[in-house]
Amino acid sequence: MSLNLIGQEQALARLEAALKTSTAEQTELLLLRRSQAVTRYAHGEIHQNVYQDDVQVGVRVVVNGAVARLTVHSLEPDALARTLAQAVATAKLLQPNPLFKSLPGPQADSTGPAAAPYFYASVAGQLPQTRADAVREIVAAAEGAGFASFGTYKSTVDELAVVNSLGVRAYAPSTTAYLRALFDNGQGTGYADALSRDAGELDAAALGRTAAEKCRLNQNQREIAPGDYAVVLEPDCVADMVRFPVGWGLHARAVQDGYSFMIDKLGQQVTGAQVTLWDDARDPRCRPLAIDYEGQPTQRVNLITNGVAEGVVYDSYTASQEPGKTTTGHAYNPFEYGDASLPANVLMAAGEASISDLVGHLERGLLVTRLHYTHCPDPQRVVATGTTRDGTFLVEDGKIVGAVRNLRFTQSVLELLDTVEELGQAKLCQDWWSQNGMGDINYYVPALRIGRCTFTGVTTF
Amino acid sequence: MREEIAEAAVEQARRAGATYAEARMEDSFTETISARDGALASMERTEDNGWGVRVLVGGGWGFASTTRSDSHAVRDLVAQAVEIAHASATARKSPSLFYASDFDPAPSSEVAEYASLVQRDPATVPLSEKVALVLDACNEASKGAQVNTATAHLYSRQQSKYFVSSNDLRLRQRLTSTGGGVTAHARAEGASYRRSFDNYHQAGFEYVESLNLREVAQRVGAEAGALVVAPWVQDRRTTVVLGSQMLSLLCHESCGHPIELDRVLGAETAFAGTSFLTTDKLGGFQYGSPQVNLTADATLAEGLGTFGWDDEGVTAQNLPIVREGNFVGYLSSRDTAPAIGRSSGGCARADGWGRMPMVRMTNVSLEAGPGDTTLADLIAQVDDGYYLDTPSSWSLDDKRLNFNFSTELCYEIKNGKLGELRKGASFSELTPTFWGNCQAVAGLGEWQLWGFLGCAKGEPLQSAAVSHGASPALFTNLNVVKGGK
Repeated sequence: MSLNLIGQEQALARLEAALKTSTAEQTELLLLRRSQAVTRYAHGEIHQNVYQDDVQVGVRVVVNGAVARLTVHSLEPDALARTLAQAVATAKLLQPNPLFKSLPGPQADSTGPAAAPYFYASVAGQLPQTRADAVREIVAAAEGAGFASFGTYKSTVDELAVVNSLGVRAYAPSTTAYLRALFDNGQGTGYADALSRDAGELDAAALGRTAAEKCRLNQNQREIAPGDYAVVLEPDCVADMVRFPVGWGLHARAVQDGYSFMIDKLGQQVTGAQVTLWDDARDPRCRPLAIDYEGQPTQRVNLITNGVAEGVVYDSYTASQEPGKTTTGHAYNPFEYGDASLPANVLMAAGEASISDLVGHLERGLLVTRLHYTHCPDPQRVVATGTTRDGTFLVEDGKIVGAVRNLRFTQSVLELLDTVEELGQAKLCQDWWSQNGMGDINYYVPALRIGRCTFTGVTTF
Repeated sequence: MREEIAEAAVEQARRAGATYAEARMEDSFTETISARDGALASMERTEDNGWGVRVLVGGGWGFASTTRSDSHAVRDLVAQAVEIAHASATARKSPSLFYASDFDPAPSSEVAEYASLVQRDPATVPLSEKVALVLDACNEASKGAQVNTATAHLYSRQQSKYFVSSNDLRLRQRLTSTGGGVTAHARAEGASYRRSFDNYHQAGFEYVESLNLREVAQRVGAEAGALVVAPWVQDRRTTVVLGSQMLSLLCHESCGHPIELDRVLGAETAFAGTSFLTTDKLGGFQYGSPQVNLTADATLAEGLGTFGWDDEGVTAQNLPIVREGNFVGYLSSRDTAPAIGRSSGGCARADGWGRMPMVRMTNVSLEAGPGDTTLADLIAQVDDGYYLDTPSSWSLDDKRLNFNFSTELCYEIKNGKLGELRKGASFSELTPTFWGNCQAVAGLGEWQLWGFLGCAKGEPLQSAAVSHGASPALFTNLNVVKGGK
């Protein structure tokens, strides 16, 4: 996208210049510059092709114990000064928040390793034609196989910078590229996607081959009865399932508000012993970033180890509500999601088995390749419901014997993870919601062979 | 000055070879004030200014947007949109249907204007008044038995848009919306339960005042405390009365999304999916029982999906969707309506300056039933069943056919009267089966409008504000179960 970065020096200089004018007791300025190009195709044609260059600066001030946050879409000095003055004036009108203790102070290592694998010119310098060419390659693969093709190529450049009056100075540029393909012949569909910080890692031809292979397999679907089945879940499905304990339980706010399954469970078995789950935004296998949205260094947090509940993540506010806690560097994007802390780079212990191996070890059950629109009817029991899509297959004696129509599952994820029987190879992916911009949680999770998953309904396709 | 940027962009695009161009300048101001556990938890104000230009060049579409308004911004952004359009054209086999659609109203150099009806401008309401209101609501909700955490919030948004297109259409709109809500999490005997209320209208602060948040908060807090210790719902197939708020989400998810014509035609296949309401069903498919009438009305008073013109410049319309159970209409835009031989339904909306317009819901509502049937009358018709209201989770398959909803509130109905509270109710059904089992809809006196701030669709994601109205209705043969296994 031939983008001119603001750059660390300029970004921090602009924010610090504004900071110096603040009359508040404490002040934080958070910059997110996001340049995003999205190319969408349907029926083998590009039908939407867009670019947005956005700058947001969030100004958070503390005056007499009252906290106000104002956001402006500009980095111009006048706009920052005006917004800061308005934030101070607003906070002066507010009552103090006795629960708010302080903005976070500086910590070492807030800019991460010098050669952090977060930023790639393959994304920042990408031209619209590069995305169109990748789409054409996928379309050609689909048409060669007799399928219609649908999908997205999304490229994002972020510059995140934070300064505050306690001495935090942090800047992190990053890039993300995401490509997906869905093939359809009216009788069945096949899907493939890839996510990376480096667009050079995205292989359009390989995605086309995978989508075609799955679409060919997903034909002549038959209806099977709802009920309990052993399953092999591909990593995309595991991400969708793991999203439930992550979103409804493994962060401090859920515990403090009283609805997390982790309440009174630390040190106790909450899943099967095969399950080890942690968050680490420094792990290059995930979608790494050295800082969070308060400019704090991101830290590894062990969430569930060998099935035993071990911890949850904190931002500075939630940490201040419990004695002896400090932020773990998990402040989430406040522009999109308000004040929140969340595990956003979730890893799960994996194995060596391929999906074929896992299927080979399944006596009778289902191979589920993708889930759709999952939700949580019972947060405390971490119950998930959703439907399968783009390929659900019946397995007998270790072999796929045919495609089946989509099913609805309704299942406690903790109970599901209690019956993990085999760990497969892991993949970087996002859950369905994050893939589609309704969150930003990344997962490096394996395919799983699971003893029992409860399906509660069928669809007609 | 800012409107001149949009004018200049369209002119620049014309010179660059665009066969069609439109520019949209948007300024918005959003304020959210939140309280948690009796203290003011957050005070957030966002000022958002930017603009975008959409061009059709060589048969390909390009859209680019920015916050910049410097002297080179027009040149740079139009060049970017044109470059994107050229790239699009290399993967395009057929012309866009955009030009097959009628253009209206008559082009003019005059600027047409639309503004929300506002009695009390939220920007003029003293902050101290808003803070007192939100703290009071939060405190009242906290008083409920067993309530562990209570929150309350107020919301207001003011949005100004200027639209100009290469066919000399100029539109200026100013939209104002307000609302608020309360949530209580109760905890007892190792269990927790959430009860909530929120609603938003296109209106001034007078709407917030009309919500009576203090009374709402007292009810929410009390119900949270009662629900957390209530017995679980018993699994059974039974007759239910669904409340207006629950039905408004059913209108949204099981009707509003599957009637988006771009989705039907495949534009959303890889993300949100497609639709069971394929074009061959238009005019000849029994979507629901004869009691079911659904309408998409962009002219509805106080609807969040109400406007003067959509973001392609098409005049707001009131569209029949389902008539006596028969499926008769879609939500459409200029490039989708010609596929079914119709003119645009005026449903192309964009989520701010940084997004291109696409088919979105306006205000898709279940029309009130005939006469003056009340909620109590519906309940009186049920010997043994449930009354359900307020959605707590929702999930639909990628054709919007198989759905699962769960509700915060559930009362038993025994011998025509509300009985004990139950918690954890959930139900699954196929969309036409569900609406086909609708036996009665309460009258206009029970009809309420519910605003949703965040209807998600598209890539990059677009979050639309929409409204849905409904009266309570009676459904037979619904399988109600405890939410989960």
